[in-house]
Amino acid sequence: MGSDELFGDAELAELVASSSRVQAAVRSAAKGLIEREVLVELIALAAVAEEHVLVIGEPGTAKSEAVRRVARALGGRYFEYLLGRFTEPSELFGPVDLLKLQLGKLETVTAGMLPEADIAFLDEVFVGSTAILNTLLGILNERVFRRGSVDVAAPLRICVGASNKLPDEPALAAFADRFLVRTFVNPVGDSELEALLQAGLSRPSGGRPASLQDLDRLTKARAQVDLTPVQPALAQAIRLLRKSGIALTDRRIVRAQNLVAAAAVLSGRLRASSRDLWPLINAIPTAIEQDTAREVLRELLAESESVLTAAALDASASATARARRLALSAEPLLQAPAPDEPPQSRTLRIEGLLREIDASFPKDALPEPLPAVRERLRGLLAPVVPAP
Amino acid sequence: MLSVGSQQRVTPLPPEAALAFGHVALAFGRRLLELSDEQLGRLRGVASTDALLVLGAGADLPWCDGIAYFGREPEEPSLLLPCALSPVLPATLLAQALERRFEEQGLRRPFLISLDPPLLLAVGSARGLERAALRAWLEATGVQGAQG
Repeated sequence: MGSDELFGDAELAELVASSSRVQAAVRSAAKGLIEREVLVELIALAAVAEEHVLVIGEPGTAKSEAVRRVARALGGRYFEYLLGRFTEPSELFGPVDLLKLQLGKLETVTAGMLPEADIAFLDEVFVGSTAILNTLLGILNERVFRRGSVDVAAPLRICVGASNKLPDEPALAAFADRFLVRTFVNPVGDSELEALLQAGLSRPSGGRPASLQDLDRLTKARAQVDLTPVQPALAQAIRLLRKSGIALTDRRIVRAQNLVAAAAVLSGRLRASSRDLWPLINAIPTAIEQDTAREVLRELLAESESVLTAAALDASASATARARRLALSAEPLLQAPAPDEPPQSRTLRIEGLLREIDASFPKDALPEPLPAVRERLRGLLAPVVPAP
Repeated sequence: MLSVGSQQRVTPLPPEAALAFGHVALAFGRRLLELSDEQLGRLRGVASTDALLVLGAGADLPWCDGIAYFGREPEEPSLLLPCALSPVLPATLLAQALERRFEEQGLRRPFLISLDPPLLLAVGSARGLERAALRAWLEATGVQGAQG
């Protein structure tokens, strides 16, 4: 029995509807944020995968705003906190219940605090004390809040942790390994500064395009995605990464499959394929290793496709690589023609390249240096009919 | 009118159809007349008063500035979608909706969905391109002195 047959028509239709609403929530959350589409999409992906996200970036790079918007778009209880060296556990988990303490029981009042949150953002997540990190481990790993005599299920769908940099200490590295998805944000580039200034004055749109129920439906479906078609490719990817000196922990290797399954289910697929392998890049711990992995896995990720377009494009670097390849292909055609090349043959080659450029990108989204390349190639062709 | 949002594809589809409107369609028609009989024989097409759609292998499709290229959706080969854009709705659902809509009118797959401009075409009736028919179409649309 295939994965598709696990779902009746009505269930499949509901699944597709939930996926569409979560996509709408992602678009709504990303609107007005400049160069943060990847982060917003990765948060949605990780939520469906039941994994957590670690964002590395300087202060003031809209990390918390991105998480807040996703939480608003999905609904549910949101908890956010900036950790400091002296942050007490009660500031995250709630104060001790003094009435119960008088009866000899150590219990915590968790109302409105992290143990009752559906979505959480913890800024400077590695700065917390050992007591905080140990309790957090239980919540992140098992979705269980343990403190004193308290041992209760936590409804947490996703925790996004943020930090200026990755931790160096081995003990913190072990805690960091619980955040499977890694993404690195930089301040907005020069070319987007005007957009940033305009967006900074606008208010985010209201409304709630999706709900936690949609998220839960997708999460349940993700657990049933058939991964057998991609496991050989995943194993091959790990071997290629190891050859390049990129070692992933066994935990990371196994759990990366959750991301692949989440990518499949968000794109309406219940059987994973090569199109869904791109999140593997985001399971790689450091920025430099992710860059290396994009090169090493370029062929494996060549067929990447996802409704989370920005994240998939970023992971597979396929648009940039494609633009670079097309520009390189144009170079010989832009030189003077060889004396023995028939004109018709040259025309066909130029047209072939122009066709590939126009078919590869939306007309208003040609990446550099293709606009100029296209214009130069077009100028080499005799006009068939002058435009009015 | 079916309103379908779109997003950029991570991996573009290989082109299998070319669609042109207005003056671009005229330029496209003239370009097609410059092909050899053998090249023209490998193409099929449909035309209206101001649009020209040609189907064939990617390498056989000529280029003109302004042509939109379409390819087959891998999950739903009955759909021809923009090479660089994908609809937000899953392809399978779209195909089912189109099948129901066009079946009543006796129109056959494959179905082409243009997202910009928004357009639905059932192209099952596309015929082999013939030079005389192409010339007649160009003349009917007011082009003087079609060559070929």
